[in-house]
Amino acid sequence: MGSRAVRDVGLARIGTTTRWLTAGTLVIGGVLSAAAAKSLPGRSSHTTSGSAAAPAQAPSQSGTSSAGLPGDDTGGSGGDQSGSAGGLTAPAQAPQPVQSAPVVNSGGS
Amino acid sequence: MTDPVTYSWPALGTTATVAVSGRGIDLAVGEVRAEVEAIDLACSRFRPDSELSAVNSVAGRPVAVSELFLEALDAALRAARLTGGLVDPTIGRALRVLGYDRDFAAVDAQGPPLQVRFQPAPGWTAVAVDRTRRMVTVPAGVELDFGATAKALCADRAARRAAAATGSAVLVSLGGDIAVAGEPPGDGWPIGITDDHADPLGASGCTVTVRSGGLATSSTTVRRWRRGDRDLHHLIDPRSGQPADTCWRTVSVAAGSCLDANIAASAAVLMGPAAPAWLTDRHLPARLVGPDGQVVTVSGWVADREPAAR
Repeated sequence: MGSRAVRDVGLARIGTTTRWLTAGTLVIGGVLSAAAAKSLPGRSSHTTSGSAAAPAQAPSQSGTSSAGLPGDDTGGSGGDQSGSAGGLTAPAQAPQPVQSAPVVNSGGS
Repeated sequence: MTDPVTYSWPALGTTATVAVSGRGIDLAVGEVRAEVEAIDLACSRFRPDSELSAVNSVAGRPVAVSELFLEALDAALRAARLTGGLVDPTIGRALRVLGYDRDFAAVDAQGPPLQVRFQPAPGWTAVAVDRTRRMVTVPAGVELDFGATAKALCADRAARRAAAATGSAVLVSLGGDIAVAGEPPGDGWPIGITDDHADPLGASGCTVTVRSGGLATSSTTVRRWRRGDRDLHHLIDPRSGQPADTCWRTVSVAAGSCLDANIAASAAVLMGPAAPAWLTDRHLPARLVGPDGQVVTVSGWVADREPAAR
């Protein structure tokens, strides 16, 4: 075999090795990523607008400060993948004051 | 409008009440009883034959569960996610070591000082759920409690079921966690807002009407007990594993469902000063009462004329 043929064979082997290394790296990377995602579940979170440090204060009548608020964690990891992913639902209308006698009480229990 | 017909009985360690505007109170009560019994068998922390007891007792091994248990677990995990972990179902151990380890009626009101080291709750992400196989696993040392969500979930389910069965408007209250279904009577269901759901009707001076969805109240004034010189209550802050030290004694919230109302009310108590803004951001009408009776209302809940009665 001439020196040119030897070189071509060598280059071919290098190319093949490179392709196998690339493919192997991708496969191993994917497997490790999947294993990490399964064994180390994380949570993403965001806070609602205007968040800041929570002041240690008595309740105020205005009640409009947006301090230290836990955000809706929409990461959906951990155990909660129930599909009921929406936020808390507001009522169709706010409760209205009334003078009539109540049917039942809503209170602690 | 004819007055609604109501019926009450002891259930889930509290009081169940069904009100029907129209026909079918007996049928409605039967439907609600069935829902209550099912949720008790699935989710009671105090019944040795409940699914929750099975899950809590096997320490890290997967347990096959029912559809209803899975729905209750999903509700609890969703509550945790939507409140940034404040309403966390992994507070079961904290409640137990504090002495709330049986039906509350059987908990000693006074006991010796606690000899325990308080720990933060393990956190809801520790719970593993295989929905395809309906298997649930909690790590060793983690105990679940669905106290913040199961009753409210049950009220929603029961109200829908009873309304569908009777064709009438139905209100279901499980210890003050209230769900309504069907076309409401008149201007809506009149509901008294109190610290304790067992207070006499009309005693609070605050009555509101609700036409749909749910209304729930969380309060540190009920389910209280004492160990040594320490007063305890059932609203546990998962960050400390201890009863919440909060600036609200009672929070009532209206929402699209009783479950969401109760999640928000529980979170608000635990959140403290940040609660009004958190509720406002979510458009949840709420009434928050401080320890001295000072009332804060948000998101369209009409303000009281006077401080709340004690």
